[in-house]
Amino acid sequence: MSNRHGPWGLRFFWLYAAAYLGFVMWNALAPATMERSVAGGVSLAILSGLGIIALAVVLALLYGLLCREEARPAADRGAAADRGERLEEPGNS
Amino acid sequence: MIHPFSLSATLVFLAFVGLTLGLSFYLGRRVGGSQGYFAAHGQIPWFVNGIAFAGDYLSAASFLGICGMIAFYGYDGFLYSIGYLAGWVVALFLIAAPIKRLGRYTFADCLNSRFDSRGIQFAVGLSTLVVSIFYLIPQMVGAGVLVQPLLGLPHWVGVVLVGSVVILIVVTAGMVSTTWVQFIKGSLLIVFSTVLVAAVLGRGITAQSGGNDGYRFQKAGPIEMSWLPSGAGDLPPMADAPWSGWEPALRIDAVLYPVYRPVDLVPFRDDDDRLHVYSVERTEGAQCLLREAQTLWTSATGNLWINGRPQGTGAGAGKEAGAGDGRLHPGGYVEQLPGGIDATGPLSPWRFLAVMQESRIIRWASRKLTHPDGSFATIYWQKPTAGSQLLRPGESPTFAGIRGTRWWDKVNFLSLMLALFCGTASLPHILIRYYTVKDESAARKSTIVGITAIGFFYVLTLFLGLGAMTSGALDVSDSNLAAPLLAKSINSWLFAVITAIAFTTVLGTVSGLILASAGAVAHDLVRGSGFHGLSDYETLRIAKAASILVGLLAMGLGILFAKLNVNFLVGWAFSIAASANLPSLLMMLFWRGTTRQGIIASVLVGMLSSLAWILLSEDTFVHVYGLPADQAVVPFSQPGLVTIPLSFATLVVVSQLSRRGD
Repeated sequence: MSNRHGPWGLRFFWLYAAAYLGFVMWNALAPATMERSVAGGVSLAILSGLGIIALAVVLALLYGLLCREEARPAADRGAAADRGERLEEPGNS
Repeated sequence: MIHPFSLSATLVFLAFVGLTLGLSFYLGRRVGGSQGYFAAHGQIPWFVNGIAFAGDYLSAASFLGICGMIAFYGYDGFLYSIGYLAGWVVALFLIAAPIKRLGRYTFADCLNSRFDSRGIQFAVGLSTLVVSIFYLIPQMVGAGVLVQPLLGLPHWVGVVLVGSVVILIVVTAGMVSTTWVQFIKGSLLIVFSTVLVAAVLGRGITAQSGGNDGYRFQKAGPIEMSWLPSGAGDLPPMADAPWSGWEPALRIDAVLYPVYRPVDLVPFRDDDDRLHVYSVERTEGAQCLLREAQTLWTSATGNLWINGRPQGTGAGAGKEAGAGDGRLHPGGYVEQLPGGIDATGPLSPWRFLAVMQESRIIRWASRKLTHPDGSFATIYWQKPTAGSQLLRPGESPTFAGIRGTRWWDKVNFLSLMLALFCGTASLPHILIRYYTVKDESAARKSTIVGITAIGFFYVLTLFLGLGAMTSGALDVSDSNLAAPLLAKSINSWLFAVITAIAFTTVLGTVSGLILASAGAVAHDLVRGSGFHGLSDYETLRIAKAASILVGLLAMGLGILFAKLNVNFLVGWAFSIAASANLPSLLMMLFWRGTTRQGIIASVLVGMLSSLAWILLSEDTFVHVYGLPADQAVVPFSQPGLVTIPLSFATLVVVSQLSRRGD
């Protein structure tokens, strides 16, 4: 069984999981480097932390948009079915 | 610290709580059977459900625990924010739509959708109950913490108050009212936290030498280290000692000296024989500075003395307060700003972080010491720390090990971050919220709304925590109070509103958790034990009886664990949830080879192994049993890195074996 809209969901999941793993490993293995001031005097630790939060929100919004795009043809097919035309099963992608 | 009673704050607070209860009872009239009680008839709009997700999730742990941890230790608390949000990615991309498609009332329905097994229902019902109770403990602790500064009541009264109100809400209302109340509270929490952050940035940062009660801590030196030898027997003649000329004049307490000196503290007595403690801060060469510390001494007869005076009642002020007015002074301030300026004025968010990075901040450390007569003292002392140090990982006791050389400490950190990542999508009170919307699309959309709201709030926690760290209002004895006291340092009305919202959020989260527990008992444990054919009325009665029992248990545990940081406690709940629930849920969705026996084994092994690991860990030995850390049985405290893979492996092995058997 797979998640509906699975390809995007899984791709985004693995992308975020890789970023999160990298972030956590960096904190665990090289914590001293996180102290460095970058980007207007803000520490690398804070900058990367805010980046990880922003990535989650951006991917979630993008996922919502992609699901809406995919839902449109399905809605069109539903309308076609209502008009008595032949309906093709979209299946789990 | 003593928190005096405030009438205006209490009135706003009572108005908020009254409104919440009124709304709960009004909406509770529409329950109408199990479907309404447990799943709000599946008719909650997705946007409302999304904000209700935020209301459920941004509980005492997020608001009180994270802010407190950031206020005391800086960036390490923010790591929790990052981990908590990351868990929502798992929920959105892997879980949201299928769990809505496959379930009806509880998480067990979903796992059981392919098998119709009493064993699965019982095992998952049990794990739901255990996880919910572990998650309830920090909520109850948080409730008690909120009541202290607002109403001036003891911690246990807050716990009992919340417990009683929540039981009333859950027994009379159900998921419809819980959802709407969470929606309102989630919205208000985010709006007013934004207001609070705006106030913090507008106020900017001011260099101080004490907290906002006006008390200025003494700092003396530099003095030669030779005045402070390692043993009491080597103490030089004290007549000419630097502290003999201070106001008040002090002399070293030679009896306590051997206990305090090894941890860089020095005990003094004044002419009235009051205890004064100073910390030793080494400077260049053979010199040091002495900084005034705060003491909380419980005498052998059980009386509490604070800063050398009997415990106070809240009357009087600061240093001039008379006997009976002993109190801890607030801390948390910047000692030195970049460029030696006194105040920054209003700051942009980015500039605020940059100024913090370049400032020197006074943090407070604490240690409990046993006096030779058997009495105990807790000493709170100032630790001047560079901002750059606070805004990097490894400053808190929880994560300090990642800066060390012990690999187990790094593994412990990785294990916690894994549990936070995997835990959110396994929390029963979050999962049941997917059944309150009408379809998969609404489940997905509400998760996206939830992630956006929660992500924004977690960015705010960074500013709230750092704002509290520099507010001059920190209670040095309790990290959980950082956010409410930050609000109090700005405006007493804002304090009342923030506290009321936080308190009602605790009410809502506790309601959701008790509801999840009640569902687990009424639907899963009862049916899993072989009782079938119960009427809707009987199911509801069992659920309500379970709510009362779970509520009472949570109250007892909330009082027992009163002094632990709520965030720390939530880490345990996440570890158990991630180990017991997530492996079976993911494998059921993504691996066709999953069998009924595999799911049951995975849930039980994940739950029991993580529970056993926690009970045998260093954290529990030290903080709960009061035993030495080296007696702990397992090599690190956070179980996730071992017990989550163990649960996956159990499912695969048992599924393969049971298929062969079939």
